[in-house]
Amino acid sequence: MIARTLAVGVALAAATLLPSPSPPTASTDRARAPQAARSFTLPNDLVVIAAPAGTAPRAFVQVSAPLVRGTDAASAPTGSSSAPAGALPVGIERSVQTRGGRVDVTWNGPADATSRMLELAAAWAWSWRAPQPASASAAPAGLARASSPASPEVGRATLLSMLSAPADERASTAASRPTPRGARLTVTGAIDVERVEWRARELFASWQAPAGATPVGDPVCPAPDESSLKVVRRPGSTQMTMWVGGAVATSSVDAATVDVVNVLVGGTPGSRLFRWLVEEHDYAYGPHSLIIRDGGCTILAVNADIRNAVARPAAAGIIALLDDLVQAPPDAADIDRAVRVVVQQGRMRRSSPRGLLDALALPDAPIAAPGELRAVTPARVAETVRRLLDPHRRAVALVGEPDVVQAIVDDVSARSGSPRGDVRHHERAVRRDAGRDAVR
Amino acid sequence: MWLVAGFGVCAIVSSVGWLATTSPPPGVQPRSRRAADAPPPTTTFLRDAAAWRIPIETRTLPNGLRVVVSEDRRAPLVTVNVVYGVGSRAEPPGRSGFAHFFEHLMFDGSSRTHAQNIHQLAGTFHGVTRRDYTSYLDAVPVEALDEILAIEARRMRTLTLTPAHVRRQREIVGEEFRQNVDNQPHGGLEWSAIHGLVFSRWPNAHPSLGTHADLDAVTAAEAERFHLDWYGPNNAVLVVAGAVTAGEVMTCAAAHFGAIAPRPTPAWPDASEPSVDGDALTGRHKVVRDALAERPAMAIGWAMPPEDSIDYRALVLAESLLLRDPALLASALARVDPAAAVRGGIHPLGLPYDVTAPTPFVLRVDHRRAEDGARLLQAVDEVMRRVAAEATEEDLVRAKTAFARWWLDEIDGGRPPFVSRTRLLGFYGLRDRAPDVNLLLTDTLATPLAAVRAAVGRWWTPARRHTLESHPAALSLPPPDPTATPDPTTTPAPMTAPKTAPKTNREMDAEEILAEAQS
Repeated sequence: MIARTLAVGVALAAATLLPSPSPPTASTDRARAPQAARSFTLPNDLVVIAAPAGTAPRAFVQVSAPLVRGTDAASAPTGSSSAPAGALPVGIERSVQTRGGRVDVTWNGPADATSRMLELAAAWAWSWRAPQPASASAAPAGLARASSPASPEVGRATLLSMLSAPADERASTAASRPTPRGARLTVTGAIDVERVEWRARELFASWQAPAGATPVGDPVCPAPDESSLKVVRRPGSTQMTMWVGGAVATSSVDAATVDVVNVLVGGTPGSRLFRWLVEEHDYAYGPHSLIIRDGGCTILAVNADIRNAVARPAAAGIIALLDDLVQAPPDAADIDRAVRVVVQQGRMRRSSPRGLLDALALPDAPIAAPGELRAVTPARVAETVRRLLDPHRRAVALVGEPDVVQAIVDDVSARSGSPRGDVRHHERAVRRDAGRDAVR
Repeated sequence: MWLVAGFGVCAIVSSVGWLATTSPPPGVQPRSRRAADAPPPTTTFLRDAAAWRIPIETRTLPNGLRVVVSEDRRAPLVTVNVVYGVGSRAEPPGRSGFAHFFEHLMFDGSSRTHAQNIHQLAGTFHGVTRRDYTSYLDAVPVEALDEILAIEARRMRTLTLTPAHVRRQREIVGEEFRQNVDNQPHGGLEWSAIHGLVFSRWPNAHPSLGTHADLDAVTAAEAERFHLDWYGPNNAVLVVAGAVTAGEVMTCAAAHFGAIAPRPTPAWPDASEPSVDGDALTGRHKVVRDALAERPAMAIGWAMPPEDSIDYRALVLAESLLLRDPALLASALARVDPAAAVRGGIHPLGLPYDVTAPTPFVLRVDHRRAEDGARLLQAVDEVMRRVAAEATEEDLVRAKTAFARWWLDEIDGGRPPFVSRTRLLGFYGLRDRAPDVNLLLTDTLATPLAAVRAAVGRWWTPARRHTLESHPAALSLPPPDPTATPDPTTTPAPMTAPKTAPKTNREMDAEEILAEAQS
């Protein structure tokens, strides 16, 4: 392995030193001229997008690649390579995120280091392997607030543990590697498009998919078949934290409709959740909903922190509001307004290099493109609402004062008990499970 | 199209595409785009970053309203930020949190709430209250510029409040307080409570989110008076950034705001801290208990020098050295407690340059064992000592590069777009210095190593360090920090509303956690 990675490093170094077709010259005139974004596909199926954005002299390089496993065959050019890990050059930062069967790696640095970041990306692509997952009991690095058992934020982790793929399925990405087939290389910022194209072709054209490898793929979304309720007792809480959510397999819904549903439910201060909880009843400060795409699942999660004195009616109201949405889906005018909001959110996101990077680089970018949004229909919204907020497949996580959450448990059980009697009730102490969830 | 059509006194024509055009806006200095692989990149980057400029055009209307425009045509958007020259530092004793509370009322005092108005325009909005200013930001499609300016002008002109408005917002602000302070372990420790230890004068020392008792005392009449006093056009800056020209904005601004009469603005209270420059200043040390915490944390604060001084800029770079790259504090603290986490900075809720002195540099350190507190403090002191004595040019290049990259991200990006740029322009606009925003990065990057070392040695010393330790209520206290001077005037007590007393099972949980951490 070491020999192979060393060889990749040598090959990359050689690629920068050996004679090659002349790069485009960077003239001041060209630097000043407007440059259009460019997208092309290399013979190995890698899609390259170079999108100039912003005037500040920095750049972003991102590789978003599917993961495969099942072979160790060298995919690097003849000779091959060295681990790209270790100290990064001054001014360059790197972040890595694995999501189901994909990995996204982003380098952020000075614009003049764009070529260097492309080299780092190429070295990473050839040599990276997903590490073995940490054991579930391992301590987190640093005392993140979310991992504190005494934090209300533990409610989010609890909801995710109820709705997303189990840890053993997530672990299936271990020892896998990225492949160019289905991958994207995206470069944004104050870049010279021609130079990026030339460099990308030079560095990535020979990146080959490992022969005989099989895609890791997303974990299977568990898509709960019954509703469930978990309680985290937190004595001394001044507020009750409530998370309500539903999940469907990401492959079974279109992102644009989900974005619209989110705006309607609680994604903006104009949403039903905000209006009812804040403007009509003064129950909460910042209730909201959000879309979480995690482990093959698309989750619509609703969150509110509510003072103890009104937690019970507020919780009942939130449940009723979600039920109402299922029974009486939004009309065309509501949907049209929500679509305009999502279009605007997309524009805002794409207005910065970092946001543009997200929108371009990730195939399931949270904010859909305008063309997709125009195809959203009331029927699709109704169907998506019904599936995501189905009261018989809904998960509820409560964190708070034991007496307060117990009263809500009684209410939710009574409400859901009659139609199908399928509320599964889990109660647990504040620390062990909660801490583990947060670590996971 | 999905966009709201432009109408009214000034129509804006959108002429942008989100991917197709990236031409530098007017006023941007041409940059060199050298061969990207020409070493060393940081030298070129620092030079380019120092020379980078945003377009800034300013004008003052006859009623005193300052208008600042930063044209940027990369998306068909416009960000409008009305920045008022009032913040929590202006609150009188007994009315802590009033400026922030009033900010909430500004979103509510009409037949239709601001949220409903902005939802109709498919936009987004938010408000923030800082020590020195209050900002109201709306990001909308460029076609809606006319309408959004009309909305902002309306609430600058008059604000009609009823007791019902005040009651509702009191509940909502109370919820915000619980969410961010009361119900969080060590809530507000580093961004609110530490101010009370570092400073002695009310304007700087009181909690900016206030207390429940102070908020309960507010009346509608008092709020309307506050609006009349502080929210006149002559105490505000209208900042517009986005796909519009300065001419278009000036026409719209004059049409909507021009007729609002200027109003007398009260003087700010004296916020000077006599002790900040004094050699005799002694850092204070205080311990509080937190019923919701299960692990200890501490806030550490040092008073900063005047914001226009060379020392201040030098400390901005020192902050980068400590917390960004090479992040000296994290590695030093990890040697004492591998799980220790540190965050904070100069004005961590905003930018280092949108605040005036007196302001603190603060750190928040979360750690596993109460008895490590003293050693962690010693580690912090040792890092400061080494920066003052041993920091190298190489260290400084790393710090400058990390700071410049972060700064460019803030000023050239943000969500909503241009949030930091417009706030900064508004804050400087209040002092008639909006164009100086372009010099902040330039001047910071020009700061030499000697200045950084000297400033750290002068300001961030153990003698000037104030420490607020917060311990889980169930744990026994550790031995006192031998390097600190106890504060004899204070009793350990939370700075905020008292939390519910811990119960038996919580104490057991805390003990178990401590035992687990120690094992």
